Amino acid sequence: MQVYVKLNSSLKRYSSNEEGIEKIQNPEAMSVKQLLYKLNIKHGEAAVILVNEVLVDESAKIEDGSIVELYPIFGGG
Amino acid sequence: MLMAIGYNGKILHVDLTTKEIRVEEQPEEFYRKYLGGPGIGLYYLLKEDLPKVDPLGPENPLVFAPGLLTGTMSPCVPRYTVMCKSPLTGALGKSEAGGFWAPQLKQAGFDAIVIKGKATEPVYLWIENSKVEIRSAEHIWGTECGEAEALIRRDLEDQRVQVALIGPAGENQVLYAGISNGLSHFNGRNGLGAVMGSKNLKAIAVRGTQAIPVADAAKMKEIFKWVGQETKTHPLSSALNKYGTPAGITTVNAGGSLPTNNWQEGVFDKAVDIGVEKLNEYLVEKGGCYGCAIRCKRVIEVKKINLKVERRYGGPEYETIAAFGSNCGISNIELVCKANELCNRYGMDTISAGMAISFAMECYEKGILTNEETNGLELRFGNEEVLLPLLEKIANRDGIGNLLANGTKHAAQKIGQGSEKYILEVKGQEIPMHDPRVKTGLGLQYALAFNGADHWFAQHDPFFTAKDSFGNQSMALLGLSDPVGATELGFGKVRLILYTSYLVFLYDMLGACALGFVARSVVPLKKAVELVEAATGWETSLWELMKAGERSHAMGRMFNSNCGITKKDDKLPARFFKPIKNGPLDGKMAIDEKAFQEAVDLYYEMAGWDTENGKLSRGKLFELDLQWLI
Repeated sequence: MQVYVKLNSSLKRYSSNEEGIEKIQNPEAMSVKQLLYKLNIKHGEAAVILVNEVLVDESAKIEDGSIVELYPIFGGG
Repeated sequence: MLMAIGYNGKILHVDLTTKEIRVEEQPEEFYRKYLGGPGIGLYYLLKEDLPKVDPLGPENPLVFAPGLLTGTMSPCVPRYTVMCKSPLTGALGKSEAGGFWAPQLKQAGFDAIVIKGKATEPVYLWIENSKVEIRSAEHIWGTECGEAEALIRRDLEDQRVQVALIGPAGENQVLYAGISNGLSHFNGRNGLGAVMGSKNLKAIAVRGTQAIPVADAAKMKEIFKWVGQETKTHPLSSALNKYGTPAGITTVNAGGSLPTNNWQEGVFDKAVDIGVEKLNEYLVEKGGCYGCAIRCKRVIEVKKINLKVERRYGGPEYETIAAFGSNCGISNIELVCKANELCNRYGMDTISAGMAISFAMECYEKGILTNEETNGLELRFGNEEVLLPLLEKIANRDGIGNLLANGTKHAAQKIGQGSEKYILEVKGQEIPMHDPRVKTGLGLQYALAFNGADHWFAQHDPFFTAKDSFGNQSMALLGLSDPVGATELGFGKVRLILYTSYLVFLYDMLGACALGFVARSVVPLKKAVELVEAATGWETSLWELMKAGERSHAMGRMFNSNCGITKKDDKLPARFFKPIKNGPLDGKMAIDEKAFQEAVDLYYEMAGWDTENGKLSRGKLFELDLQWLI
């Protein structure tokens, strides 16, 4: 399966490019948690997760061809 | 008295009525109990025992208290607390600021300034090491913050002088006027600038060149260096360095909870236009505070033919961008930057000002305010033309500005006609730009905070939702290792908010910045203890320091009880018991009102507060060595 990931603001540091867009391949279906692990994102750092524009948590399953948007944890300011 | 180590052992008292200046020496036991910041501030406020004082009258004491560690070589510890009775809320007025002013005061030889009375003519205080003078400010009264700072530095022939001052908003006693230092650091909320204005006190200028003796300078340097290194790679501090707080705009919007059009909706379709990538087009520098490597502040400049924004007043933070942007329906980042500059020139809280404007917009759109009442301004959401003129009117108490300058609670009482439905405040202070429906612990913070709705009364829920979240990891040693869901309201959430409200008071007592320390950032709790030991020579512990945090937290509640604040005042605006509208959380997330009230009740019980008036139990007061408050 293949998913498209958009890493936003400080999560771009996990990306190979400035735009923060990654194409992730995986031999089988995966959850958001597994995707974050694959991207090497420190647990707790990605706090707002959208899959195909729907807000989900880490347990959500990702279908082939999905677009995943990740935003960093934020509080205060 | 033994020579003080890590602090000065001296409190400066100034009576502006009698012009008396005196220095009080306090023993080590005082500092061990009250540390600094709100511990010292509340000690002096409560000693006065003035529950009925008029906040804008001469009897209202105004205390400036740096943290215990402020001015030493402690990383991310630049801060001071200003306290008094607030004219906006009638309860405790308390606001912290960073920058470079407080370290100078400590290095001038003072741990706090207690100001009473009222000068007959405008004055400013000048503190140069141990020398203290009251000087005329007649030639400075009426000037904006930038001009005032320049005039004072010229008077004193020293550009290195740090100045905490008020602008025209404070002089005009706008009830949410703030105190500015370095032009871009603010004791923003609660109307402390109005209290300063009511005393005819324009500024406090300080120059301190005396190093504070510490017990173990090598240890402090080691920790300072460690934090400096960690800051570069720690995910939270490096994110603050790279993007500052404005990164929150698109994140919070994606999460479906960005305040939009006076909190009527949870998403703003033009959030990207006021997001950090847009702001970065105007970024010229990253700014910071004394002793902090994070450099989270944005310095921006706009140089367009029709709009210029000066860099010296600093760029907008998340709160300001949301308050003048999405919450007013405005998607023009340059205009938001200009609005921020205007507030910083006049010395005014951007959150309360933004909320006053969005409230007026909703009233206008609902036909409650007429064109005549708005001085011809068409107060519609998204109308960019009204933002700057309204801010000018508020700062100068002109026309509708005079109504809005008293805060939305007073304004709604005056307007009537059902306008009370459109205010979102707690104890009279407007809600900051975070929606408690997606983090209920924040709702408890808003309701319970002594100084009105405050988004840093405790720590934020998202940091504690999983076993290995930043918060659960860094606060396990406080007994907070168990995850708590962001929207839970059970005993786990209440305890989380209780313990972290003690911790945040401790941070304020030390002078630590919440954006530098755990859970929000890099400096761990054990290092905080080591810093206190290295500065003071005490053998202490997290337990003793958390008890100190609990002590000043208790003092804050006692102050409010004396002012007549009861549990009835610890409530959330009705809008949060209804679902969010629009976006991914449309129709969801309404807080359960009964569960919320039960959580508030449990907080009272856990804290040892009387279930109605909030006074600490006799046993608790003895335990915290506050029996003098019985």
